[in-house]
Amino acid sequence: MVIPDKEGFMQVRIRLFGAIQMKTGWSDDSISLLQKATVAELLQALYEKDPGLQSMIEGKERALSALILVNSLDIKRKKGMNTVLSHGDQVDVISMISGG
Amino acid sequence: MRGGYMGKILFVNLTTSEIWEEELSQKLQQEFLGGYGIGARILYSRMKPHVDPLGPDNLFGIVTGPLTGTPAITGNRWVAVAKSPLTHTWGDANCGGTFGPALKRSGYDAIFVEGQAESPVYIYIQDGQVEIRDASAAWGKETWEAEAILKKDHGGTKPEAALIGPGGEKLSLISAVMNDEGRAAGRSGLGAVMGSKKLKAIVAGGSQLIPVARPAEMKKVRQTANKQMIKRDIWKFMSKYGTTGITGGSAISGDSPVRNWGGVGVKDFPDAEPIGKGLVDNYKEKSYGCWQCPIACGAIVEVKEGPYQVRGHKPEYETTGGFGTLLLNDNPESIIYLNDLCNRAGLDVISVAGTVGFAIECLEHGILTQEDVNGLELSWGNHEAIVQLVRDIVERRGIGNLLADGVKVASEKLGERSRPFAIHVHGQELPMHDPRLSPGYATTYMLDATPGRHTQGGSHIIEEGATHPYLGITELIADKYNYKGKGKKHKIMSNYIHTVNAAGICLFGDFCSTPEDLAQFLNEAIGEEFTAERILTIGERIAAIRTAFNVREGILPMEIKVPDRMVGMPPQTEGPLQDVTIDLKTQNEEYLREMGWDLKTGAPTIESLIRLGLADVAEDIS
Repeated sequence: MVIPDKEGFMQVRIRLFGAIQMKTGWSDDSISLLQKATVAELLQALYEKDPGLQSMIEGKERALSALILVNSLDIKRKKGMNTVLSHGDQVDVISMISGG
Repeated sequence: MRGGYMGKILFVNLTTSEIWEEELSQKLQQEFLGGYGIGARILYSRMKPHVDPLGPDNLFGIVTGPLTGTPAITGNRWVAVAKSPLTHTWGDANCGGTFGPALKRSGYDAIFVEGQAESPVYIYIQDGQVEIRDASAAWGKETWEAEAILKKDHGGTKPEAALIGPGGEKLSLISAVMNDEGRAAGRSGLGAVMGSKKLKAIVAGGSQLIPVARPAEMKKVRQTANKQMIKRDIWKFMSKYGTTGITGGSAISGDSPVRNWGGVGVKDFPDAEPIGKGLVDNYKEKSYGCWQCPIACGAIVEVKEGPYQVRGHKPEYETTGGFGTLLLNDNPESIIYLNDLCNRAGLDVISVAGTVGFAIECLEHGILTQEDVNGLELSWGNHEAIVQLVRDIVERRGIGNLLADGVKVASEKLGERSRPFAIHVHGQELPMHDPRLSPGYATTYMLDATPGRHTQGGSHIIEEGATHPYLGITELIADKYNYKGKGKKHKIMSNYIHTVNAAGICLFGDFCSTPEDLAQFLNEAIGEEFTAERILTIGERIAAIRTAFNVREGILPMEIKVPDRMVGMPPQTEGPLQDVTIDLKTQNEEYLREMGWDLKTGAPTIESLIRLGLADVAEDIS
């Protein structure tokens, strides 16, 4: 059983891939969030850490868009940005380039 | 003044040694733009249906676009065209490098070759002077060596070469046309068409000016577009890593097919970064770009020690996916080596990798025996055995002879039991983009006139979240797995990409810039106004004539079969693609309805052809 790090908070592992990873310079980290935080809240925390990320994840730059997986499943197949996270979840943010 | 075109097409008959040139009419330019647009119109008009793709009547062409050789960003592309011996459909393969601009500087927008020579030849073009020359010194040689032989001793302006390697000479149906040692027009098996004509190479060069209608404005557009481009994150990424850098994320997302399309990336290949970004970080010697390309996504890599010592071109994503995730091979040095092996042989890396995956599964299921593979310990991830098998394919040696024509031919010879493991669409091995993640690919793989191709457009380009206001796509695709409602977007994107490909620029250049940039480059190069509507209409006409080519061959798009694994039948039970089964019929019909094509056959209707000015084609296929 995974124990939250302190009362009311949980740990979520986040991994970045591709152009998003290059932009931030890091690829794998753990972030502390309020329990039952959503993907949107996770991203907000990330944007505070790396302001440049927002345009890459939500800016709809042509041909470079972001796929977000929670425990390997596309959040679009869950509740999108409103997907609720749990302690120990793994979130992958992957910049997609079509073609190639 | 009009620009963008040299205004001439070269024709060569290798049976009779006749050489002649014809005017590239303004009508052809305006209706089909260039590249495979003009190629398709010419082949449709001049070739009879049902010719043997490896016979003398197949017309092989190399066609540039109006932006090839101009200051347009990535204006260096050329397209090889012919009836494909691999799929027996319309065939084309797009390539960068230096050959396209060199062909135009030699005086021609395109060259078409018919007939068959009695002995190996190459066609030499220098400033409008054309000769058929003996190629015996280069025949049998690998591409790098042959290119060096053919490009020297010509004096004058340095020529460039589009050529085949031993793969094309041996008529491997998965062989490529190469230039610049490591750049391949890989798909459709067009290397074998050159091989069947005993045409080792086309060598072209010259000093003719490539006309641009408004040079000062063109320069200004390039400067502005360039300034914008280098601010974009995609440009920064492509310049550093090229497509190789997406490998790690693609294995996690489900974009990369794993274990011959039967595996799950997060389970079977959870860390692909060492063969993606890691490969670039650890083995890249220097970057390079195609002719005047400011992205420079290519690179030279070197393995300095061990069994795979080689200095060659960086494998792109299709190669790291193919020889990596698809085969569960996590050894980056072997992937660099395999890439080089294929480049030197002139073989398509996607098809070779798919064929190796097929062979491994056939061995696993007892369809092939240890004796069949000459005792090779062929298994997932066994890079030593994979390298040996690819060497055998190059040489058409033992089991390699069976596999050198791709999975469809091999599967037909091995019998029905092997069919589920032969992952192809109408003969073409599938690229490394899984439609179960981006379902628009499924329609592209099935309905585009060159089956199984990821460089054709469609809704997959925007399924992960992008709009295209200039082209009329203002709303995001809310649910990519809702198969209704994407047809119009698929139509717009596929027609747009046809025009990009026909214009003579690279898809990555387009990705790093905007459709408005394309319109402006065409405006200034040609000297006519290109609007979004005109761009999309040209693309639609190109789509129609390519598809009509297939229909005339008796191949109806909606009757083309796709592999069950490609559409999630049965669906995967874990990972990012779990429970996905694509409703391909609905998705296809949505697209066909928007195109005004026949929902049952997938063929362009008479009305749509007439609307596009293709009355002669309408008469043929009615």
